[in-house]
Amino acid sequence: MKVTPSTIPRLSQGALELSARRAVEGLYAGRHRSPYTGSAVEFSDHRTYQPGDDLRTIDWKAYGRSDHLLIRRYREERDLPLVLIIDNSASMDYGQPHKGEWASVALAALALLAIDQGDRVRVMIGEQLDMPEMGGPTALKQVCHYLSSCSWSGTATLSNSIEPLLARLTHRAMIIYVSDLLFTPNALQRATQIISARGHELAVIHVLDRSEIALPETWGQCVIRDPEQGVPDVACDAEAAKPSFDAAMAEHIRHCRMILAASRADHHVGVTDQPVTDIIGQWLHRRRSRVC
Amino acid sequence: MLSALAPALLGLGVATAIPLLIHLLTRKKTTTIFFPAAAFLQQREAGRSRKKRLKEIMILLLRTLSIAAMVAAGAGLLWHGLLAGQQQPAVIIIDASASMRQRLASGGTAFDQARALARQLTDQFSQRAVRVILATQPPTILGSETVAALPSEIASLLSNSQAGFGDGDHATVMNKAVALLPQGGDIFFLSDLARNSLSGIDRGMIPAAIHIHAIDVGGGGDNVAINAISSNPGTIIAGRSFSLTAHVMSVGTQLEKKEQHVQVTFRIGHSVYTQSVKITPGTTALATVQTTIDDIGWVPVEVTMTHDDVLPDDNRRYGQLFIAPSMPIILASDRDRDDPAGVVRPLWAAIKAAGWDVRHSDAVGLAQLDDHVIGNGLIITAGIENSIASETMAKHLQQGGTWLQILSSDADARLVLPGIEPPGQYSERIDVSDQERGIMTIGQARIDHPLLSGFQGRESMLTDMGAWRYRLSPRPPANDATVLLAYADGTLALTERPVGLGRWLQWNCSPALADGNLGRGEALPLILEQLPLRMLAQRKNNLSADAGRTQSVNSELIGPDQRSVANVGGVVRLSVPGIYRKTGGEIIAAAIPTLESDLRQIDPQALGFAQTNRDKVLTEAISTPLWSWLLSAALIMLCVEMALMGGVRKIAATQRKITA
Repeated sequence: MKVTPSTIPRLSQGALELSARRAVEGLYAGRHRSPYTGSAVEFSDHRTYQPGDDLRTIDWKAYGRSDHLLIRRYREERDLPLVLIIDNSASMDYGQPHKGEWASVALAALALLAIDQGDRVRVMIGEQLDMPEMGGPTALKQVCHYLSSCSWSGTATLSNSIEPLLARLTHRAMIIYVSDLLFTPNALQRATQIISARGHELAVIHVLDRSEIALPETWGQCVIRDPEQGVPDVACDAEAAKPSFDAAMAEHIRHCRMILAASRADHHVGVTDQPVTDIIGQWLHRRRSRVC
Repeated sequence: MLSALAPALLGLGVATAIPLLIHLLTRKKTTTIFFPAAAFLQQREAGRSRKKRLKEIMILLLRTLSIAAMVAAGAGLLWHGLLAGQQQPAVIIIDASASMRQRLASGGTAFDQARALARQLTDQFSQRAVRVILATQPPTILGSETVAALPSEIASLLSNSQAGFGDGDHATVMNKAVALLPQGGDIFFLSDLARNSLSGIDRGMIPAAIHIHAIDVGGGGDNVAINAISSNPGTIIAGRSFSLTAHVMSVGTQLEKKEQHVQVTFRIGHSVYTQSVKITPGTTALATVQTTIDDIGWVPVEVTMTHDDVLPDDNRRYGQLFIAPSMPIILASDRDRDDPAGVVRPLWAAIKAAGWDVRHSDAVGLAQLDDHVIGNGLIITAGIENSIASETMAKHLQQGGTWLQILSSDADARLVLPGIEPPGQYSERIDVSDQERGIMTIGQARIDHPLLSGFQGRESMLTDMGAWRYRLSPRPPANDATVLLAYADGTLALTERPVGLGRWLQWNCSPALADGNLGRGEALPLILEQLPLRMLAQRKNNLSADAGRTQSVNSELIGPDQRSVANVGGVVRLSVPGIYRKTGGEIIAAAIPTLESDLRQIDPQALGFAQTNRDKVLTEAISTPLWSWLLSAALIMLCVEMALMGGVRKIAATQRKITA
């Protein structure tokens, strides 16, 4: 599928914003909290004057009250380094609407939102970290071009993707991972723990086809084949197998959510038969309410 | 009884393929779906799928088996029911020979067992035309010969039958049975399969459409029998000592390893003798008594034995002895009997030296012999000059007499009997008195022959016998002639030939002192001593007839039970062992046939007959037909299938409830 800037849905025309929950370490001034102090409007704290400090930063009022030379410190707001990772495994090549395409559109929408906020974005397709961190009006075009080249094959997991990423990330960033999470929960747990330990913020958009949540009874007697060839073919009666399958999938989603919650990472399920804007909007609304 | 299934009906077995076809045709086609979340199905569905497939296969198998069983049962029903009318007839032969009187360990006799088995077989073959033949002499068909009797009728007739003596002419019985089955059928031969069973039956002569099943009704065990009685000499001369021997044989099947002591009692006329013999299993022992009877005439003999075995009938044997007057020996010659150098005097002296009375005669006298001498005595001729007595001599030989012809002259050598070939023919007289010091050596001697038994230990006599003799003509001796002595150059010396019931001996050596030395006068008495005894011993050594057989008797015959025996056209049947008395004093002893005592079994298969197990026949006679078993099996399989299907439906219903 070709993703173009014109086909990317715009999220509520400014009503929504993507804000980091943690302090981010953007290189440029922006609208997100950062651990840095400096010239800014948001007061942070006082510090004892040290020779060499800029005299303009001395808080004279505080000196009058306490007879100590104190320097006013302000929290700097930086831009948000956003890393968008799309799962390009073979399992994403499924469904109507197509899971991979749905994920690409969602990713592009998030990128558009971030660029509009003045943040810089970097897109990863599976383990490929070819695209540099970009911002500004031209970045969206690059993102679309990059996503259009995505192909669905292999068995990529989050662990595989973050290894090259973390080696390159020198500042705290926000990582959004769009995937169906059809790999073992242990791999997810290991990856989230690493990301959290490095101070990065993680959010996962869990993309699923409707049939993956509720097994269609209409399939009847069938042979199920895993596109990733991870398990042998299974002959089953869909009607008979539905209860157990639905329960197993629900348990899997719950398990993933628990793993991500433990690392204070967002987890939001996106079913592909729903519009991307709705899913992303719901997530951002929920996120904003939590942040506030 | 798979043979009861009609082969044509078995074609319905194709129906067993129906479930398989239904299974294959109605099998749902499965589609292959690529589904990323397959892992969540794999764990639960793999086990469930295996169970389901196994269950399906089991149901398929049960359906197929139940249909196969129903088809087979249906075929069996049809075969037993609708097609019963086409079943082949059967003949049951019950061996009624004396060996069937043997006692079985289970109680009763082998014949009782055969009778019971025959009843059960007739019941079992109620749908078939069954005849029962008792293997008596002649064969007895129970019921009508043309129409098969009812089982109840056969049972009634069987209860009155019993095993006889001397019956068991199985060849005749089998021919009778074959005649009753012109379209083929089954013959069940119920017998103890002892040695005389199936005797004389040639399997190759029986049509292939007739199947003979030999069924062993049991038998065998320890049996010791008096198999024969013999006398020595064969004809007993009044006043001369003779011996009577009982042959005691161990002929059972369960031969004990230890020796047994048997007491044998001889009752000869009014005299009783007892002998104890030791018999080793599988062998024969002889009990012999020596006695003398002075009175001329018939004497009954009864030999009994104290031994408890499975066949008591052969522990007693009867025989008859004829005490004959002294042996009539006639020396006939046309030469002067008073000539010291003639041929008569040495012969006369030799006969006398052997202890026999002798009468002198010539050719004319021979021609006028009394009837009681013709065929009954020994005639010795030497120097007969004419052939006037030829016919008398021929009659004498034909009726059992013995003629010792001494070739002492050319006339002797040329004497021929009408229509009778002599043992040897001689042409040229050879005088060897001047050669080899007048001695001719015997080159070939049958020293083992009874007639020459006197030479045993005195073989040197044979080396210097004979002075002149007749050379054998170019014609070889008669085919049935026995050369007892031959000279070194091949010329015959003593030749014997059976003629009719009698024997003709030729002695190619003159007994005259002038002609030779005849072993210096000692060889001839040795032969003449043995000749009368051996001659008579061979003639009459059968002291009893087989019980159960028929005999030609012209006068009234009183049986062992002192009742008159039925005489049909001059033929009587000696139905039981014992002494039968004719009017005039003559007696006939009947005894159990020797072969009947031998209880060792034969192998019917070796004779080309199929052997059927008795227990199997009985079991099949009372067992439930196979088709009913098959039907039951089919019903059980259907119940199991319904239970399985019910279980499947129950699981499905539960799952639906959970889903809802």
